[in-house]
This record gives sequence, structure tokens and C-alpha cells, in this order.
Amino acid sequence: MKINVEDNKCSGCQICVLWCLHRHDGFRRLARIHIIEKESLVGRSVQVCRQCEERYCVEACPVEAIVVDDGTGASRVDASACTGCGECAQACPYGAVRIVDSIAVICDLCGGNPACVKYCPEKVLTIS
Amino acid sequence: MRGISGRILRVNLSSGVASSESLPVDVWRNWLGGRGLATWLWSKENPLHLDPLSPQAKIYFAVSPLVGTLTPGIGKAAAVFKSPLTGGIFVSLCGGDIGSAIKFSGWDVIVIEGRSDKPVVLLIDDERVSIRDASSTWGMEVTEADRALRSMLGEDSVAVVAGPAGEKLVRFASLHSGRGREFGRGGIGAIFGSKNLKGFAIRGGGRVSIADSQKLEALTIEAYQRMEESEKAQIRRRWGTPELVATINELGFWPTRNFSEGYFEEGSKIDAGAIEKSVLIAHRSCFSCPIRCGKVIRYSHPDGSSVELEGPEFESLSLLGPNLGLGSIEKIAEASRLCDELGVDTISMGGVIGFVIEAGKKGKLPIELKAGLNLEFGDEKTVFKLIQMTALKEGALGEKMAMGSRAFAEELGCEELSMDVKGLGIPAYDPRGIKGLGLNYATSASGASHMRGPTMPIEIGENTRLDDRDKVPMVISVQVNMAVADSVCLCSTARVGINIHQLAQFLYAVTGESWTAGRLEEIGKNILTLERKINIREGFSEVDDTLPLRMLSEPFKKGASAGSVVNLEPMKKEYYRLMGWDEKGVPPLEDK
Repeated sequence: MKINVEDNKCSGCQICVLWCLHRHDGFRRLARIHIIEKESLVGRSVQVCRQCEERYCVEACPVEAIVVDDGTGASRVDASACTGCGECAQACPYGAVRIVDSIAVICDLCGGNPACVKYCPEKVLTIS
Repeated sequence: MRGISGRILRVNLSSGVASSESLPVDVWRNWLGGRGLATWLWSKENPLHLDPLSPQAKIYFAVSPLVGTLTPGIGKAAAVFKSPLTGGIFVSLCGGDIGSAIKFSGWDVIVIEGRSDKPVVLLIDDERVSIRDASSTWGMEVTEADRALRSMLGEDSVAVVAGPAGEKLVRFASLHSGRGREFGRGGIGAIFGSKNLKGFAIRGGGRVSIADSQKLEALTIEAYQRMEESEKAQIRRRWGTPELVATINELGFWPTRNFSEGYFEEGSKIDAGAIEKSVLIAHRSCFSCPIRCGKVIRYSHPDGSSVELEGPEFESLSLLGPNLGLGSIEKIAEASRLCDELGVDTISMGGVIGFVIEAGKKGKLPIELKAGLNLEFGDEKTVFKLIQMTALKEGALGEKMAMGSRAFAEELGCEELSMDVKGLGIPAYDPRGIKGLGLNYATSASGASHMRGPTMPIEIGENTRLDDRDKVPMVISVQVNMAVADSVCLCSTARVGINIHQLAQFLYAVTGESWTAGRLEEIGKNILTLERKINIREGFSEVDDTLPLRMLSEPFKKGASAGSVVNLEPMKKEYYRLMGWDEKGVPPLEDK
């Protein structure tokens, strides 16, 4: 599956972030979705993995620590192999990868039922 | 107790020392967080008769167990301080992202005390705190200052800044967070100015411990459902707070020309429908809230450029609009934007301008003070000029307006023309059209704040607004309810999805401790009584629980609220009695 984003509809509520924390271990710094103010007050910049056709993060990784998950299509990081070099974060066109505590953090699609998509009150996020 | 860290960050700007302390968990059990906790702390740490702008004065920013959790509508942070405007205890709340930033950084309360001898900013990055030179930011307007502080810490940080008005100690200066949220009232901006603090930026990467995640999730989904089904929430979602314009104007208690009338003939040009048709371009929400009541407009600045603005909210629209005889969205939006950028409370600013115009027209202003201005209602150039003069204390008139309408009126000997209670300017509901709200204005520790006791939905919905009998229990109940909401940091509007019983359940799911609606109401009442005790110690008495003479004795001549004044004394007496205070409104002296 792929996440699609219409970021001019984003109101900035960050309910997506709250569900992301709730579905993972709750650390704010480990959110896999980031809502950033733009210059304009219309919408926000929504930084989340789009499961790109050409998977830039996978290609950029020098130690092959990222693979495309068979089931969900998410970019899956092997934390034990990841060195925190940040090449994946640089390569990502959507700003969706963060290096936190020296490990790459990327959306795992909540294992197939992404909570951010389900609960976004503005329908900014859809799956295809 | 889950949901809290139990830690306070104390920053002393005189010594430059930041330290971490912990508070016993019983404090949250008794005071909840937010307004309750911060008021209790204030009462423990601040001496009597303190000058609010002195280094000894402390200001408290507090969040609650629910902040940063799934709970929807928990979009506020509470600030408690002694107000330089009223001289009493004051609470101000700010929406947007600041509450969650404080919570995720691991602090339940941030206390700022002392005074820096040079302009500084405070940077809080989880537990790493630094006080940094900020001379380059001194003098900056709010948008620029917000950007500057956030650039010091990171684009994921949240800032709270004073504008030039706060730096100049304007008594109703505000603090601003993000692109359109404020700690608006009570002169909180001047507190920062007096400490040489331009603002603070904060970010946090931590987590909130939750007792029962599954329960929290189920309660959250039910609350989303109630908000979706709530007519009030859906009205706010579409139109924002300006939805009130048509209603309040038709009911004839919309502040018009310094509260001299209750109906503004140009109301339909500036109501929610007019805004939606002409300038509305987007919607915004506070952290965790699906209601999305923020409205973004695009309008033409007087210089011809195009401006985006979140707002104007109903209060700003009213006090800078009909209250000053302005009937154009663009003019009102620009006045509101100027207040935001310079950092003053729009309600108080509109109130003092209204006062000055009426005083001028009635010959109460000495010629030399008039500064050659056209002091008439309906002149936006005068309004823009007065906002600037006041916020920057330009000229003798600017200096005097910066004291607030009450102090200025006392100097001129025309107190009856200042529409305030305890110095705080009356908001956009004239109490002659809504008596219970009038009782709330008169009795709240803050002075005339509609948010301490927002009875509007009840009094309008049940069509009892012109009654002054059988009002008191309802007013107390609303004040108690808001004391609780302000202490858990629940936005007033979001209460349509979370009533006090549901709130008790959310608190249980997060904290793991048992709470009931009854216990929450008891805490709310304790908060009101504590605020009362503080104010009495500061020198307030029942004489200060009043309304402007106009509202007690001059009925509107026309409109749907004509012929009525507020019969305050009997309501006050009953209020004191039901609160368990003596006939002079003094609570019993047992220690708390």
C-alpha cells in the first residue's frame, strides 16, 4: 500500500502524530509523521513516507539496512544493521526519514492499518 | 500516578540558574494541573502585595496529565501570574502547540522568576536549558520574533514571545505562540518585558506514561464521534467563533461604540457568512483537536499587499469592530493583526480605544492629549494610530492608554466611561443582554473574563438571558466546570465532546487513579476559593465585584435587549452564600 497526501487540507491538529505515538512506544521524537508550518497559513507540510515506487532510502543505504516489507510495502529498517549514517534521510524526497538515537526511523504503516490515515479528521491522508 | 513527570523547571533570570524540582503527587490529586496547580504554586511562593513587574514576581506555565495524550481537545497550556493590569491573581490560556511541547519536554510546570539585566531568551530542549543573549530580538514584532527564537532551537520547536508592547510594559501586553495563538489577557506580556525576557522556545521528544492505553483509545474514538455529531462543533468547524456575530447582534447585546448600544447596523457586513464569502481561505486546529475552529483569511493591507491572517476571532472582531464603529472585515482584520504583531490583548485594546473616543466626544480629554487625532467612531486610521501609540507608548496619550482604560479613566475623573471590571476590559457580550454572564464578570478573580464562566450557550439556548433570578447556581456550575477544564487544559469549545463525567474517565485511563465528576467539581470549587482568598489578601473586596455604572443603571433604548439592566446585588449575595463565603464574599479562614 502507499500513503497519498493532500497537504493543503492539513489543519495542523497533529492527531496523526498522536496516533503514531500511541501505536508505537509513545516517544515524541520517534514519530514517523511530522507536521511542519509552511510560509503560507494554508495547509502544512506533511512529512511522511509515501512508499515510493523507486525506493530512494533503500538505494541510498550503504549497509542494506532497509528493505521493502513483503506484506505492507513499507520501508523496514533493520535496527541492528543501521549505522545512523543518515544517507537515507538525505535521499528521501519527502523529509520522511529521521535519524533518532543513531537509528533511521521510517513509517511502518502500522503493520498494514495505518492509524494516521484512519483518524485524520481532514482526510489529508489516503491509501492506495 | 501516570501521565505526569512530577517535575518543575525553575528558571531564575537574576542568577541565570535553571533547576529541576519535584512536587509530591498529591498536588495533582488536589489541584489537577494547569490553572489549579499553577495557582496553588503561586499562592505558596509569592509574597503579599508584590509588584507584578518586579524581579520577585514569578510566572507559572503548567500543563496537565492529559496533555500530549490521545485525548482530543486538550489544546491549552495555562499561565498563572499576578496581573499588572488588575493587581490580582490571573490565569491566561494559550492554544496551539505550546502545551504539548512543554509536556513532551518532560516538564509539568515551568516557573520563571527574577530579572535578567540584559535581554535574553530561554531555550528548553527536553532537559537541556539555556538562557541566551537576545539583544538582536529586542524590538522585534511577534512573527519575526517567533521565527528568530525557533531558529535558535529547530523548526520543530515552539516559541512563546512578547511583542514590543510587552517590552514597554504595556499593562495589557500579550504573549504569542506560533502563527495565531496567544496568552492574551491580563498583561502577561509585560511580565516578560519586566524580566528582560523576549520569550522562550521549547521542544520535547519524550513520552507520556499512560495507565490504560486501550481504554484511552476507546474513550478517544467516542469523543471524536460526539464532536462530529455536535451541532455546535460543526458550526465552529465551518465558521469559527465569528459564527456568534449574527446571534449576538440580533439579540441586541453586541458591544457597539464603547458599549453605548447593543446593535450594530453594519453587522451583516462582518458576520461569518460575509467572511466566508469574501476572505476565508483555510482552516486551522490546535494540537489534538478535530474541531478545526481556526479560520484563515486573505485580505488587502492598506499598502495594497495581500496578507494572510488567522482570525479575527469573535472577541477581536467585536472589540475592534462595532465597539469602535468599524464595519469592514479588512479594517478590523488589520487592527487585529496590528495588535497581534505589537503584542497587545485585542479585547483590552478595543476597550481602551472605545473609552478614549467616548471620553473625547464628551469633552473629558484635555486638548493636549488628543494629539490632533480625529477621535470619532468609525475611523480606522484613528484606530490603527492609537494601537501603535499605545503599544509603543508614544506620546502622552499613548502612555496613558497603555495603563488600561480604568487607570486612565480614574486620572480623568470619568470612571463611568471605562467598560471594565477590576481593570479588565469587558468582552464581546454586554451583560445587559445576558445577566448570568454579568454575575460571572463581577465575581471572577480575573475581572471581566467571559472565559471564566461562559454561560452563553445556556442563557441563550434556554432563553433565560434577561432573567436575573435562578441564575446563581448555573453561573457557579459553569465557573467550576471551567476551573476544571482550565486545569486539565481542555479547550472550552472541545467540552462539547467531553463532559465532566467523560473527563473523569479520561483521567482514569491516563493516570490510573480513580476520579469522579463530583471530585472534579470539588477541586474546581477549591480553585475558585483559592483565587478568591488570594485576591482578598491582595486587597480586593466585595466593592470590586461590580459592573460599570452603565450596565447597572442605563438600559439599552432599542433592540432585543432593550429596557433591561443588571440587578447585581441580589445575585452577588446569593453567589457568596452558595460558595460558602460570608456576606462580604470572604471565604472561611481555614488553611488549605
